[in-house]
Amino acid sequence: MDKRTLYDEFDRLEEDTQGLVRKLVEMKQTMSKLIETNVNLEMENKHLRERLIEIEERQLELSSTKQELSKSRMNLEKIYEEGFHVCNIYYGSRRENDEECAFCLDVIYGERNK
Amino acid sequence: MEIVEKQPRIFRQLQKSIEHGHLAHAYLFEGARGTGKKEMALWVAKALFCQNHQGGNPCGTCNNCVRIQAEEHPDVVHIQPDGQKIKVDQIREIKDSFSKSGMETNQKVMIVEDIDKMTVNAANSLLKFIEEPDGQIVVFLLTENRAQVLPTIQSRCQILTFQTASKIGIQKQLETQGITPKVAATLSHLTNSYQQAVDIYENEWFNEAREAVNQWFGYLIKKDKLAFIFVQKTLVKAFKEKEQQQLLFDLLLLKYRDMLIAEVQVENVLKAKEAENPHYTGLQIVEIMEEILLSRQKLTSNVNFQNVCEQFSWRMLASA
Amino acid sequence: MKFTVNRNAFLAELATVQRAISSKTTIPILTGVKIVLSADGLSLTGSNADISIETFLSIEDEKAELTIEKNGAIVLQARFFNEIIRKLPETTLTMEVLENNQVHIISGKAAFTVNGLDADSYPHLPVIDEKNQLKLPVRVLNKIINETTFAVSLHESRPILTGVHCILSSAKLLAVATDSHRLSQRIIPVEQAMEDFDVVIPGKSLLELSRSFKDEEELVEISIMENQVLFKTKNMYFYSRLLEGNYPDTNRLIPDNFNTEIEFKVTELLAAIERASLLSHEGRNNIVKLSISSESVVLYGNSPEIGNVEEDLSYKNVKGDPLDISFNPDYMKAALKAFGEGEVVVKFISPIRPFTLEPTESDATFIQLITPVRTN
Repeated sequence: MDKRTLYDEFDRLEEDTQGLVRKLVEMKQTMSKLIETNVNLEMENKHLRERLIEIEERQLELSSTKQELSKSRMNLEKIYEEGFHVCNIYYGSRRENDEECAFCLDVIYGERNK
Repeated sequence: MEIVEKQPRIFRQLQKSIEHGHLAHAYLFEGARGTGKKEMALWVAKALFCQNHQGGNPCGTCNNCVRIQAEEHPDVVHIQPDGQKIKVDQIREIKDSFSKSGMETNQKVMIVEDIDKMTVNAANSLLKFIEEPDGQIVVFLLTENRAQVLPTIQSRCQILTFQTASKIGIQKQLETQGITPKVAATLSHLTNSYQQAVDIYENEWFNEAREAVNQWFGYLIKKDKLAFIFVQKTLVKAFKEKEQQQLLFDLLLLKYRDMLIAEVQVENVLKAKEAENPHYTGLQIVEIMEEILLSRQKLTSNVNFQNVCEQFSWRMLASA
Repeated sequence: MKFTVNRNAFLAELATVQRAISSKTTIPILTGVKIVLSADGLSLTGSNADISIETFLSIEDEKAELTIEKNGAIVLQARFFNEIIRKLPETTLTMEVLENNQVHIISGKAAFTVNGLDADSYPHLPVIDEKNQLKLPVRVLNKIINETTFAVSLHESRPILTGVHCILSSAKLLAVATDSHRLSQRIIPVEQAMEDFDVVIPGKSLLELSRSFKDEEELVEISIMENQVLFKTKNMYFYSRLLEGNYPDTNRLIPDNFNTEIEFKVTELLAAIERASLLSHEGRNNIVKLSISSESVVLYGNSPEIGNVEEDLSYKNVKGDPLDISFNPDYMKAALKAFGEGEVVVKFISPIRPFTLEPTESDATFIQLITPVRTN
């Protein structure tokens, strides 16, 4: 190669290399930003998931306690409808002639903590 | 005999419970007739109601003690089965006693005899009351037959077992009633219950029976052929019922037993006369006693009474 | 013991105590009447163990013509003795207790000698504490009894419900009775001159008590002793045993929130119920149905093989949700009869919850509860 071409080649390489470095820096910056965004998104995701679980649990609780109340009372109601006392006066004996019992009704439907 | 002598252990136990205020509210007294169950229950009732306690003992003379003894106190309720069962009216009386306050004070006592004769339904309806009675009540359930008492009732009571008195005890007690030692001894060997002993004694037939046994025994040990004839002539007429026939052999057994004891030179309880005892060896007497037991068994198997006796006589007469 | 007395006066006293004497008793001496003579006069006692009635004939009572020769006491077979006294010839009679508890009864030319029992064997009634007493007019007590006793349980399965729960506290007497199907509660203000009490009195005793009162204007003094309650009027002591155990809490049975309310005239509603129940009594189930809407209130009775009845009821002030509810007409009848006249407001929650009845100008002093019948 002659001296001028060599010199031009170096110039060109220098330019190219500078161009590469510029691109590298750019890419590096973009990647930094991306990583930062990624981390933020991950954190947000984690939080959101946690919150979701919280909400689901609470909902489950709410619905299950509501069910619990009615569940045990529903059981009592069923036993009562089959013709047995559920109050503590008559201890599960048969309801004569299927007559209604005010004490049983209070146990099934009455307010607790009266 | 005072109840304290008849059942000293139980007496002391109940006396202590009363003293410390630890009386249970339901007791099951089990034991044979005549062992003092009702007396004990009455004693506790008196102790609870007596107006003049004397050192932990009811006085026996105040208005309450007298009425309780006469079974006339309104708050000491007595229930006895009518025939075989305890009736519905009586069950209601029992329930009333539990659910209403006492008439004179808050204390109530209930004595139910022969609780084993209560129907299962009746017994079940009482379970709740016995387990958790409202108010102050002490219940005494009496029975001669613990096995027949519902387990659900047994588990809710404190159970006290009334032992039968010893033979000597019964004999002594009979003698205090004016019965001769000889007869008293015989009776005490025939039964474990003082009451039954008295019943047997008071049965007019019993003396007749003893006479007949003595006579037959006399013939048998002398190997007199009259022993055989005696069966048809006297025994068959005197011992008509199965129980009486069994008693015949029991009494006969006792006579040989005493002969055996005399033979072995231990104290002769029945004090048989010397002349009555021509010589038999101890072994021979034992064999005869076995024969008697066999004969008694045959009776239980419903072999004809006359045949059994005649066979026995024949064996005695024929033996060497 | 020896005395002379006017026969009719004596018979009247005997009749009073005879109410408490039953021939079917488990304590034999209770078939007898106890006669006690003291310097103040003659007292007679009869009892069936649950209730005991004691009357007193004072020496100062002119109609009694009582002359006392010697004090003493005796027990005589009630029914038999009563018959003898009734059939005596003269207007007066003399009684004398001889040795061994035999009793001489003489009137004119007739002379009886009958066997008696030692008065010491007769049950001893508890002694009253004069200080602790609640005083009420007989009229008021009778009213309370009539308003509550009908609601007690008639079954022995739960004995404590066969009684009326009576509580004295904060100058108020509360009486409540229930058989678990319906309930009746009455509260009256009283002058409280004694300690609070909380007892259960057998319904039967109260009914008998009500029948034994002679004078509605008299005052009755109520004392609670260890194990009995005593109702005392001028000449009569009425004792009753109490029921043991704890009465269930009935306050929680009475609701305070309602969805439907309606007012009726007692007599009109009662008449309508009686008409409707004619049918239900003939049929298999004793039920009537009430249909409430903002435009009308209709009472239905329907018995399949018999027929049906329908009646438009007159009412006032219907409030709240429409409602169809069925119930036992006999319980309703009994409740309405206890109200007497006037107007009643009926409050409902739902077809399956108990409903209440109260007089319209009420201050919660009289309230009744009935459980409806489920129909699904």
